[in-house]
Amino acid sequence: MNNREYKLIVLGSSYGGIEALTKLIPALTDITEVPIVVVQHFKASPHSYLAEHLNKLSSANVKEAEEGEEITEKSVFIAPGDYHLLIEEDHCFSISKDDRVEFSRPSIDVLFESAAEVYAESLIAILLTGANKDGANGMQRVHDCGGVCIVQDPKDAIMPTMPQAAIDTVQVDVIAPLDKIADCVESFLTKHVNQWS
Amino acid sequence: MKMHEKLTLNIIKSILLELYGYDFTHYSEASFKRRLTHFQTKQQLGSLAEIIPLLLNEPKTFEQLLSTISVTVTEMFRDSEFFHGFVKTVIPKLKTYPYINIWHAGCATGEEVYSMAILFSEANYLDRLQIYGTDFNPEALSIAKKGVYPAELLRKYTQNYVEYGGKEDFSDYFVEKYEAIKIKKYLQDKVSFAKHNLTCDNTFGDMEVIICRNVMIYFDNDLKQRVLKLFYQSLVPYGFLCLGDKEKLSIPGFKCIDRLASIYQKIPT
Repeated sequence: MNNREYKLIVLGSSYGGIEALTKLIPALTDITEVPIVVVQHFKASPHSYLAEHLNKLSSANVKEAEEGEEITEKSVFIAPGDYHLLIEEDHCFSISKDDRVEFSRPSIDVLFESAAEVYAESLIAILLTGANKDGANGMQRVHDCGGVCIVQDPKDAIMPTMPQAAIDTVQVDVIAPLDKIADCVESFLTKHVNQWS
Repeated sequence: MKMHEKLTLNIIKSILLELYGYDFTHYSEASFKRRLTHFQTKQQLGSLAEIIPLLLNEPKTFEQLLSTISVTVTEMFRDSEFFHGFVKTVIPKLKTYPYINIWHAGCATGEEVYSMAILFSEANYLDRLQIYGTDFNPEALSIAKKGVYPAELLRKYTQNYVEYGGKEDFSDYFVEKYEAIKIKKYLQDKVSFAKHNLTCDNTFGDMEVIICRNVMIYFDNDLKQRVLKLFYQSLVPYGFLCLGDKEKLSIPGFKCIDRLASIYQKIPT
């Protein structure tokens, strides 16, 4: 039985992530208009080159998430450097300068946990390549709140540590190589559609 | 968020307000909850609700909680872009001012306040300078007042200072003793600290500069508007307001004069 409607996709990546996002974001925006929020670990910079880069490749509008901004469809939001990105009850972003989590700010855990609280079972979380353990606790919360957890196959990842940590921590729904993740998301999204059509 | 969790948060907020006078009702719910959960883990409590009886019965718990939920980790000369922009945009404009009063709102443990004192010392404005650092957390303020920090941080601070473009020997601004560094007295004399809560306290008269970086990111729109009005009233005409680099606000009565460093100037109406 799957009659839920997915309203948000959150995505976390670290070491090797730019390469992975370059493939995955265009693939995802081709199949869905569901908003996507991304935390990619990188050194703080006053300007989001990543958003600019991905925007050129995607059919959706890719931009840096701003404080107080509302999450809208057909958009991809990238967490700003050196701030945590959180989602409030009213589906708007807030940012914070709280301590680093797993040596990271922005932290994937912080985004995933706050998204899980707000979106519960209408959330899909995707965790990709990385060299630390950020995202594992976030995935746990997504799972506990009824959301879908998709993790890149560690064997397929440039750095297996991060996806492996999530697999070791959480009962994830899908483990898939990078080039199968968009298909996998699509199958979750269309299961719902099929049921109503 | 589940119903009982929402209720728990609201009860905790009510206790903080009614019993202790701290208003968190206009705070970012997501960050507030995160910090409470952090406190719960630290205190080894089974649930957020277990904080309620402790808060009601033990004032000590309140002090610990306040420290956990108000703490913002800060460094000297953090965000080189800001200090660079400040020296380029603001300092030259203050050249003819007979007095320079600076209000640093939400100064936490004081590192940024002392960084400012150093900037003004290097510009030879020290004899005209008075900096007021305020925060709502008394524990953070007592650290700020002492001006003593762990010596192991000096390396990181020096690195930040060099990144901003600092030319002096940074360790000259400190006295080093027993694995601690203390800000030198001539800098400390220009700085005073006081408790002030942006959610309820009043203006802080005739300031030439107000610095409030990454404090309002935790506030909702209503509280932001209140604080911006407070800042407007506290600034002299053409005074400067410095915000965090992601606080891109369109503020009536202020003009952005340095977008990268997030510096605004009061334009009197």
